[in-house]
Amino acid sequence: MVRLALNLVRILFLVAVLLLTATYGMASVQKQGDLWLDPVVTKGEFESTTWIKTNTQSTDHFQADIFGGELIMGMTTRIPIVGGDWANAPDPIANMRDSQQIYQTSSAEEAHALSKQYNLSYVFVPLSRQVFCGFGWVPIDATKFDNNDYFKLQYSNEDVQIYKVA
Amino acid sequence: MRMYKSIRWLSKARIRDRLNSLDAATALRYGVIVALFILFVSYRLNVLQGYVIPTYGNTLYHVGIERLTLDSGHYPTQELSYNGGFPNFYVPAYRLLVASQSLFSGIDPMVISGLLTITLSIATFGVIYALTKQLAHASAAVCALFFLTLSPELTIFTIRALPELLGLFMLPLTLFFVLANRTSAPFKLNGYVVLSVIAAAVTALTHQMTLLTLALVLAAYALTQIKNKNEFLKAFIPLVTVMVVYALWQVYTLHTVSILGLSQVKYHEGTPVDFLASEVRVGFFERAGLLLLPFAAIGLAWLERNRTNKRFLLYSWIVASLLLTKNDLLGIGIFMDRFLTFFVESLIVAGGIGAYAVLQFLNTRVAGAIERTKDT
Repeated sequence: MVRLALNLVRILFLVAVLLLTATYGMASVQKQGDLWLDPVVTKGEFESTTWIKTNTQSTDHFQADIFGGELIMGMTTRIPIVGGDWANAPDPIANMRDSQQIYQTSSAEEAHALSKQYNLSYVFVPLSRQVFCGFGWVPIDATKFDNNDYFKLQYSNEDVQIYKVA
Repeated sequence: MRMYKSIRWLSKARIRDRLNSLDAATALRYGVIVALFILFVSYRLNVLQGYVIPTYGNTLYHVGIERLTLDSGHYPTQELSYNGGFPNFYVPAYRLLVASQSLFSGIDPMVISGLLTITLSIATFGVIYALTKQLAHASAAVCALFFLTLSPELTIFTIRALPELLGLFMLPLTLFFVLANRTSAPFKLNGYVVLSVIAAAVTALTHQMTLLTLALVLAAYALTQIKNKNEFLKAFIPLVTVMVVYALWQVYTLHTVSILGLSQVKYHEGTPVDFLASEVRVGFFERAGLLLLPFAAIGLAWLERNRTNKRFLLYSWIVASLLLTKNDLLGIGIFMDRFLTFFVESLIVAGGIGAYAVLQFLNTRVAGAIERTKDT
């Protein structure tokens, strides 16, 4: 009887220690893990990939940031200016710099010239978040894309606009 | 024959016998495993909760290559990344696994990536149990699962659709096949050698950092067994496999075995690891948890006290992955934070053994002392 009680105490002690540690541990796990579960791209951006798949050529290249570019790659296999594996890319730093410049410049002419330099057919413009081209999160100057001499709006929803490079 | 024996417990009669002969400790062990499994899997279900899988870590880039493989019917030789038009360097095993599952099931590769994340994380849960049990005891293996479930670092890399996740499974699996091969000298080419070679080859084609860790672990272990030809060959053969398979792949894709031209090497991609996190450093204790290191130290002391030959494989894993994690001190400075995952994984095994040693101590000394006090 004493042995049974002793075993029960041992088990209860072990279970209590496990529960306490697990509760504390899972809080720490969630705190760290939740940061990596963020989809970053918005629902509208995700939905726009159906339009991209249907209305663009498989050889078309896209101006996008790293997250938008990988979304486009993942859902449509179209080719973005940045995103993916940079291991063997000829000059990935130049791609990052110029992609960011296309988003940030206020000059439609400069954005257009850079797009042409990289043979980009479309510009993917997220409206509900900043962009990350490799050098930190930056805002977009989107008004220049409304210049019809250089860019033509092809698709739009609450989260994203897609322009064809003229 | 030994492999047959190890899976014989799957027969119904054996399961019935085992259930009938369950003692309290075994029942408690199974209970804890089930509880930890539920806790472990429930958090990993998050990978499928949104409209898209978590995107950190180039997850959708891999989906793109998988989709292109499905669309074209072959693994692409050219990249989609960074405006495309250059050779695809990334090893194909994980992507082909996703693409093949998508092909067979008809489910979109992005969804399959999420489902495989859950499957592979469960497989990692299983292999950590098997390896720790092989090294010490079933109770030590349960303790290792406890550390695995509560590890922030291993969680970060088992909740996303990444090739590294397959690597986190393949590395301990290869080591398990080396450990489980207990045939004494002379060296024989048995089933475990074949399995270790296959596992090493798959690892080489899964994830470059995993293959580097595995190669260094096997090399370190082979060195510790240099006077024992049988044990030496058990590590050396998969080591040669991993190197040759990867070299062949890189020559096929890049036409060179040199990695000096890769952007990761040129631009020193990666973040240094220190004990505590800062703006420019990843914190070991934030990622590994506060309890892991002391328990791992106890586990290593316990292994050293018991002096089994197997302990050298765990020592090799710890030393090799620590060396890679701190490669910035050697002037290399590449992917330190990524190698940390393999270091933490090795500590989880050691920590499980340490926790088992503590429980054993409490059981024999403390509970024994209480019983002796009652007797007097």
